[in-house]
Formats: sequence, C-alpha cells, structure tokens
Amino acid sequence: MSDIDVARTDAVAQEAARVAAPPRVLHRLLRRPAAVCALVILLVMTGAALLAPVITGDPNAFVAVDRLRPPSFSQIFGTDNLGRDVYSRTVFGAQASLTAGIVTALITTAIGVVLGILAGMFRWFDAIVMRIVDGVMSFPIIVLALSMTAILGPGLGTVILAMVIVFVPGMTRVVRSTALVASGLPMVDAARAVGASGARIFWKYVLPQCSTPILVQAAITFTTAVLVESALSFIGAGLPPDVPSWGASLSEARNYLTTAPWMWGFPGLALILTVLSMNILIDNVRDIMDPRAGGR
Amino acid sequence: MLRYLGMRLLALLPTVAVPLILVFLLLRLAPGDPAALLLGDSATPEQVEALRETLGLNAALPVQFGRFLVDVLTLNLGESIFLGKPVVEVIPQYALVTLEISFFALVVALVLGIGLGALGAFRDGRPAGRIATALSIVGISIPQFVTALILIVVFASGLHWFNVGGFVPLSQGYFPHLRSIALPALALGIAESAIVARITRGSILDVIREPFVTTARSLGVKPSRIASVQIIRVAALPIITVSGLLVASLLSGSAVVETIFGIPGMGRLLLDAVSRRDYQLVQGVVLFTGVFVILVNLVVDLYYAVVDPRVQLGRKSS
Repeated sequence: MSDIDVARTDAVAQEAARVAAPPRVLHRLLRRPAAVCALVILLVMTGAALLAPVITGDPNAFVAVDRLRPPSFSQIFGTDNLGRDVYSRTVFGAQASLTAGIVTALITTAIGVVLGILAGMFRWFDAIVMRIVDGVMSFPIIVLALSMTAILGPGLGTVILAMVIVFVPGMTRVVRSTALVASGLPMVDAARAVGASGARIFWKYVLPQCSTPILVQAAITFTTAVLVESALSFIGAGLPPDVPSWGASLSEARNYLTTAPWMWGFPGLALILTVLSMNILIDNVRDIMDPRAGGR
Repeated sequence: MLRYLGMRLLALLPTVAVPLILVFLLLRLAPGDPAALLLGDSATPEQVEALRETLGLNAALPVQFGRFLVDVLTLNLGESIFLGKPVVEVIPQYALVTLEISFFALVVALVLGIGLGALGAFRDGRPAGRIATALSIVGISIPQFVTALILIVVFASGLHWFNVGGFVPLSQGYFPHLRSIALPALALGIAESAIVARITRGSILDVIREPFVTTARSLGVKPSRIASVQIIRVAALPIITVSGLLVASLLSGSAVVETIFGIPGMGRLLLDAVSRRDYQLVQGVVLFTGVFVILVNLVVDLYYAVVDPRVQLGRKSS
C-alpha cells in the first residue's frame, strides 16, 4: 500500500466526518432561535447547580413561623410547609437532577459504545448481546429501580445503577446500527482496499460517523434519567429525604396543591424546562442531521 | 408463518432468561445473607440457618438456579411475608387493576397521539401542524406526576368532577369505578400520547413521499382518500410497534400514578413490598412484569408479521 493512497482516502473520510461532526452541527444549531433558547436555559440550570451554595442559602434551614408564605421580595419562590425557602430548594434540586442525568448518560455511553462496537464487529457477539438487550429493554425502569432499592437501599448510587442497566441497551443499539451503516460506506471499502489496518479504519472512518448519533442518544439518556430520578424521588424511592430534589419537592406539595401552588409550581417548572430544553436541542440536531425526518 | 413463529419463540429464550437471571441474582448478590434479609431483623441465627436449608441457599449457585427455574415453572414463587399468602395468589388482583388503567391509558395515548401526529404531518410547516408538533415536544417533557398534579388541581380541586384518593372496585358499580380510575388513566395516557404523536408524524411524513402516493395523486384520487386509505394504513405499522414498546413505559408510569391516586395496583404493591422488605413479593412482581412485557412484544411482533409479510422474509427492523 502507498502512503499517498491512505492519505487520499483519509481526506475523503475527513470531509464526510466534517459534515456530521459535532462542531459543525453546533454551528448550525446556533442559527436556530429555539435551540439557542434551549441552550441558554440548560446553561442557566447548570450554573445554578454549580453555584448553588453561593447564590442561595441552606436548603434545609427552616423558620417555623414562616410556613407556606407566598412569593415575596425576601423569598422570591415563597416557603414550603416546613418554612423552608422554595427558591433555595429548587436551586439545590438542580444539583440532584443534573448529577443523576449527567452521570447516568456518561456511564451509559461508555458501556454502550464498547458493547455496540463489539456487536457491530463480531456476529456471534451481536446475536447474544442483542437478545439480552431485548430482555433488559422489556424492564419497566421504575420496577427495576424499586426492586434494587429494596436490596441496596435508597440513594443516588442505586438510582443511577438501575438507570444504567436499563439505558445501556438503547445506546448499544444506536452505536451498533450506526457502526454497521458507517462500516458499509464506500470510503471504508476504499480504505480497506488500500490496506489500512482495522484499528485505523475504526478510528478514522467509523467512529467519526457515529459521534453525532451517540451524542443524541446520550442526550436522550440524560432527559430520561432526569425524569426517572424525579419520579423515583417523588414516590419516595429515590434520594434520601434530606437531599433536596425536584421530585421530592413536588411530592411534599401534594397536600398543598391549591393552597400553596408555588410549592410545586417552581420546582415543577424547573424540571419541565430542563427536560424540554434538552428535547428541543435533540430535535434540532436530528433535524440538521436528516432534514427529511424533521421532528421525529 | 409457522417457521417464523418457531424462530421467534426460540429467540425468545435468551430474552426471557434476562428477567429470570436478574430476579435470581437480585436477592443473592445483595450484601448480607438472603435468609436474614427475608426473615427481618428479629430473626435468631437458628431460624436463619433453618431458612437457608429450606431455601437451598447452601447449594452451589448453578444448582440454586436450577431449583429456582423449577419453582418459577411450577408457579411456586414463595409466600408474601407481610400478607401471609402465596405470591401467586396476591399478584392477579393487583395486576388486573394496573392492566385496566394501562389499557385505558393506551386508548387515550393512541387517540390523542395519532390525532396530534396526523395533524402535525398533514399540516406540516403550516401553523396548525407546527402547534401540533410543538405540543408533542412539550408533552414528552412533562413527567406523568406533574400531569397528574395538574389534572388534580383542574378536575378534582377546581371543577369537582372527580375525587382523588378513593379507588372504587368494580363490584361497587361500573360508573363509580370508571370515575375513580379516569384521572389516573388520563394522566398516564397524556404523557405517552406525546411519544405516539412523534412516531405517527414521522411515519406519515415518510409515507407521504413514497412513489405510490405521488401516483395516486397524479391519477386524481382525492387527497382525503389518499390520506385515510393509503397513508394511514402503511403508517400504522410503526405505530403498532410503538404501542408494544409503550407497555413497559405504561407499567413504569403506573407505579407513580397509582401512588398519587391511591390505586391498589402492581406499582403500589411493589412500592409497599419494598418498604416492608417483603422480598418474595418483590421478586414475584418484578418477574411477572418483565415476562408480561416480553409476551406483549411477542404478540406485537407476530401481528406485525401477519400484516407485513416482508418481516417474515427476514427484513428485520434493526
């Protein structure tokens, strides 16, 4: 094989990857107003989670005489049934939700990419993994998480572990199918024909094509994880009661739905805005990747 | 068809093995002695040792798994410590309630979802279509328990149409029973309808661009007839598949919704079993749910193969 041939096919690969590469997609995202709004909201939420101790006080501090106060200048989101500041609990709630979402998405992506690529490369491994994937996907996530809580005890670790088990199959499928499509591209054949090694083909040709679908699936994992964590905290099987989380705040507000709507309105809004923003981003990225499939 | 059925059933074995192995390992991989876990804190060491012997926990793991499989196949899932009844007898009455709510929720999800999705596709790019599409993105982002809380505020606290927290069994009259499960089913269904809407829109948009639709249009077939007869029929396939996948998500959501509305269903049962450390019952519920979802998806797959012969010829969706 000649180095010039490999360099030529590499140039083709770079051009193909450039179109689908995350920086390019980000560039086009920034021209869409809805996507920019969504990005800003997510940045604000992340900032709130990171700076929570700086921008607000102790979320567990309570003043018994200040119970169920409506929003005012001193307590902009009002207070809850124990006299705790709803604003500070909502800001700290971002920590729990975003941690659950980000950690679950990262671990799921790492495991899913390895399994998906192995499944895409070896047929026998593919047959086994895909059948197991079907089985795991059939598990209602809340049911699995609840049963694991029974054994391991409640906590962020248990919640994340249960979510990773249920979400890895989805990631594995995405990686496997995009890897299969990418490895069928003419430029991969070309690279193989001029004698590029398996590892080189994988790094230079297959993986760059998969990066955006993987990012999208990671984002879906994130939104689902945020929703599941809040649902589990809502039914009391998620985080311990002393950790502020949006789900727990909504649960505590159940007896004050009409008398103190601020108790559930603000944490609920924060939760919906976070998930909605991520979904809008996902939608726009898919739209950019494949304008025909817009909005699916 | 028979060949396909046989292959499909064979392929089911490893899939069913997953919930079995998971449930089997759940108790055995737990930190601490499963027998001690089952008996609770007040058990004496002699009691624990006796239970270890009866449960066969002293045998090698593969042997234990073999016995576990025999137990599952003979529907011997142990006894619920708290309820004092065999797990197999406890589950059906709770399962029926959950299945009923999930069924109504599925109807709500399909009606709302297909309506919104079709609107989004046929009016693609126009205001009505944009609103329908935006609604489905917003809908997907609102968790079921928030929908439930909003429904309670509007329909129970505001309009007083429904009561919250009072489940009325079917034996006390059909109408009061339906009224007591209306809000839970609605809360569950609305959340799922957003997913149906997105899939419906996507698959209709795909079909609209198929050559046969262009042909029909050029032949002067009325647009309404093309939409109702040709497009919807082809687009129905992915929607059926999604309905199968929705079952797992409905069962997940019902755990949350049942808690809010005080409905005695599987989710509630599991939550209670977890907080009472009733491990045999937890095992039973998890196993039942997992196998149920797998069977529903098998039925969907078989139905799919009947409707779309291409599936049998090995054109897999993956």
